[in-house]
Formats: sequence, C-alpha cells, structure tokens
Amino acid sequence: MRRLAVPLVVLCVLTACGRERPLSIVGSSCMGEALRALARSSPQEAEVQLGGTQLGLAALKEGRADLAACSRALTPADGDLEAAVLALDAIAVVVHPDNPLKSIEPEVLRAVYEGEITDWSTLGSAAGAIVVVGRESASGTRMAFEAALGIVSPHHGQELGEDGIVRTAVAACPRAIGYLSAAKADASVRMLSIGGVSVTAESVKSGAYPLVRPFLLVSRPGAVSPAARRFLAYAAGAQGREILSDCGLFLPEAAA
Amino acid sequence: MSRLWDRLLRAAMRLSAAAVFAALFLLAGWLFAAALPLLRAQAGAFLFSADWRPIAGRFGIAAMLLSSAGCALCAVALATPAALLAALAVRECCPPPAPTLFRSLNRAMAGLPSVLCGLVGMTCIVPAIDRWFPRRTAQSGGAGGLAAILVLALMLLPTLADGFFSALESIPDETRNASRALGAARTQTVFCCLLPSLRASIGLHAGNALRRALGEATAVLLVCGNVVRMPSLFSAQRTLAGTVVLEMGYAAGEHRSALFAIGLVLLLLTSLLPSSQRKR
Repeated sequence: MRRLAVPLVVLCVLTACGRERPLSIVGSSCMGEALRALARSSPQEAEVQLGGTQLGLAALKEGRADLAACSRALTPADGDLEAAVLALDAIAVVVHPDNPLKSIEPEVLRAVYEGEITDWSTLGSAAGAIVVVGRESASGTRMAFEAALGIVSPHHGQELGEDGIVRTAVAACPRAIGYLSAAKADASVRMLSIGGVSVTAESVKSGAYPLVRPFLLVSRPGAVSPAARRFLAYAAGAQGREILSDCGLFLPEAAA
Repeated sequence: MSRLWDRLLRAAMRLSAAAVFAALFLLAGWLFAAALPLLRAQAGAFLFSADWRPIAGRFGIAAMLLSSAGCALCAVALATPAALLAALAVRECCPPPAPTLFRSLNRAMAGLPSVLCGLVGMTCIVPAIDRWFPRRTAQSGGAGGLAAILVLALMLLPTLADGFFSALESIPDETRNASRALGAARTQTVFCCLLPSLRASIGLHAGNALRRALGEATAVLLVCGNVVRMPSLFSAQRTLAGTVVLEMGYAAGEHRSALFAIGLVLLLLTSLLPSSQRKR
C-alpha cells in the first residue's frame, strides 16, 4: 500500500499542475441559471460561484475571480472596469391571474410600493387591500426595480428571498402584486404591462419597457485572460445566444 | 487477546468523545471569533435595537429575537399537547394495527424536508388565514406569525408524537395492570397513572422541539413575510434563523459578522434551554 501511495500523490500533484485552472466566474445569483447553462456546453471549462453582484465585483477586484457576473448597470462607484453585455433581463410586475388589472403606470406602481396607494379599487380593480410583495433588501432584482421607478422607502407586506418564491406567493394570493425576472414568470401569475407596454423582445431591446436591466460579465481592463476571452466569445456566438434565449433572456443586437 | 481488544475499544471511544468535544468547541469558538468585530462595535445596539438595515449599517436584532422566541414557544405550546394526546389515544386505546401504523407514519413524516412543509404552508395555510381573518391580514395577505406558528407546529408534531409514543412503550405493562386492578377505568389509567409518569419525557421532548423550532429557517421563511418588524400574529415578521439564510449569500464585512453574531445568539439560546429533566 505504501509503495503505491507515493507515486499516487506525485501523480495527483502533476495532473493538478498540468491541467489549466478552470475559468472562475463569481457573482449575481439571478444570472446563475444562464451562466451554468453556458458553462455546461462551453468548450472553455468554467466554474460558476454565486453570491450576489457585490460579492462578484469584490472578488474580481481582489483577483479571486476572472469574470464577475453583474446583474445591474455599472456605476462610477464601481471603479474602472470593462463590461460585456451578456443579455438583457426584463423585470416583470405580476399579479394573480384572477386580477382584472391589465396595465399599470410607472408612477402608480411607485405609489403602490411606497404605500401611498393601498387598495385595488384605486387602480380600477375589484376592491381589496393590496398585498405588496418585494424582495429582501440587498437583492439585485429589488435594487434594479427600485432604481428604475425611483422608489425610496418601500412599504412591503412581504419580503421574500427568491424570484420563484415571489411567484408562488403571488399565485397563492388574489390581492398580491410582486416583481420578478420575466424569465421566471409563468402561467400561474399574470404579467402587467407598464404604461401600456408589455414585455416583448422588441420593447425590451428598444427600451420602451421601462424595467430592464443588463446582465453583464465584468473584467478588469487589460487583464482579460485568454480563457475569459474564449468564454465571452462563446457566449456571444450563435450557440451561446441560443442557450441564453432558451433561459428566457433577451439578447442585445449582435453588433453590441 | 480480549484484553487488547478491550483496550483498543476504550481508546477508540475516548478518541471519538474527544473529537466530538473538540468539534463543538471549535465551532463555538469560530462562531464567536467571526461575530466579534460586530459585537465589539455595537453589542448593545445589536441586542436591544429593533432597527435592522444592513445597507445603513444598522444591526439590531430585538424584533427578530422576539419573533423567533414567540413563534417557537407558541408552536411548541400548540404541538406538545396535541402530540401527547394523540400518542396516548393511539397507544392506549386503539386496536393492534393502529399503533404500528401511527409509529411508521410519524417516522416518515419526521423525515419530510422542511421546504415541503413551507410550501404547504405557503399554498394552503397562508391563503386560509387570509380567508379566515380578512380584516387583520389586509397588508400581509395571510403571511405572518400565525402562519409560522402553524407550520412549525405541523413540523414538530410527528417528532413529538413519536417521542411520547416511545415513552409510553417504555412504561411496563405491570403499571397499567396494577391501575386496572385497583378498579381504575381506562381513562383514569391514562390520565391519572400514565400521564404523570410521562412528566420527565414531556419536558425533554418539548425542550428538543423548542430548539428545533428556534433553528428552523427554510419553512418559516416561506410563510412569515420576512419584513423586519415587531412580531404580531397577522403581519409580516422575520426570525433570526430566517435572516441568516436570507442574507448570508451576499453579506460581507460587518454585515457578515452580524449574521454570525445571530448564530451565536441562537447557539446560546438553545444551549441555555434545559436539556433534560432529572429522573426521579
């Protein structure tokens, strides 16, 4: 047994050195599904670690990640970084399928989430208190939603931890309104159009639908490894785009 | 040969006992070390303020502590008598196939993943509460303390019932026969003879259930609404364990330290609870 052990250890160390370290992508959990799907089929081996946009950007700056997955637009506070738009994600506003409301104005939506409007009858729907469902305070979806509508102090009836849970909660409560990534919405809830604009590939790409956020892959400028470049090229290629749209995401024009 | 074997076994037992202790103390020590940065900065505000806003650097757990304690206590207070009566009824008053069935059903239920209980709560209990108390649940749509208590009680029931059932099994038949021989009716035997002798195990199992209820996060997260607020039956609130699960994914720096401090508080709470009653 001992005679075998030494060569075995040496062999393990050698193979570990010889193989290229897989590309490491850290960041937004909203992007997890899409990134994992890409990583599964990409010729470039990639390791996806989720934990939030903020965590990903920090890991990138400290050199612990090759790419950061960022589910919001970069701000000047993020520093000097290079971003590639992987896809566009629409945030859908959803209600129970029995709710007769079809469309809501952005200003009214803000008032609902800030607790200024509390009854459905104000919105022309059947009377009943509005159950305002939101996400927990550091969620990327929530940040993007509140930034787009100018919500400062939200007044939630429930705060839930995942888009899928928001969907289940809204589907179970006829008086609820909630928001989640359009990719996660299904027939158990109904999407509202915002100011008369519904979620379609065209309205998302043109910016007519107001609740859109980019999914970015961020890198340090001038320090993009060949592996990262291969992964970005694969994601932007025909196969990558097909995988992303299968995940329910919207794609920017190929030139972008 | 047998002496050598003896010695070997003894050494192995000591070693594993030491390993268990070391693991426990390492865990507690590590938790304490991770929580220290926050406790040093604002230990008083951490325990006594109800203002939890990680983005603003406010880490007060008072509201969540009350909510955790309230939900856990009410759930145990609800589930313990129900489980006790069920165990007594099935073990003492039902014909043969029932006790075996009861036992295996309880064991199967006890292994149910907690997220399933949460989903049942979310799709059945929360809407039901909304229908029963339409005026009280205007804002939360039924999610809140009552839903959390009911779901927790549902999760505690099988383990409690199984515990009481085992305790009843361990009471020798002589006790029952002696009681009957003195002319006690079956209900008298159950309530005046068997129930008092279960006192120790009631304390033990209720304590365990309380510990489990305090630490339960997944199921509670789905039904209690999670807005940080002073606890009440019908509006959303958040528990300590739920906060750790909800925020650990992206917490960094002081926020992360605050979550570890919550872990420390939960550890202290559960270890301060009486672990077992003295046998008389």
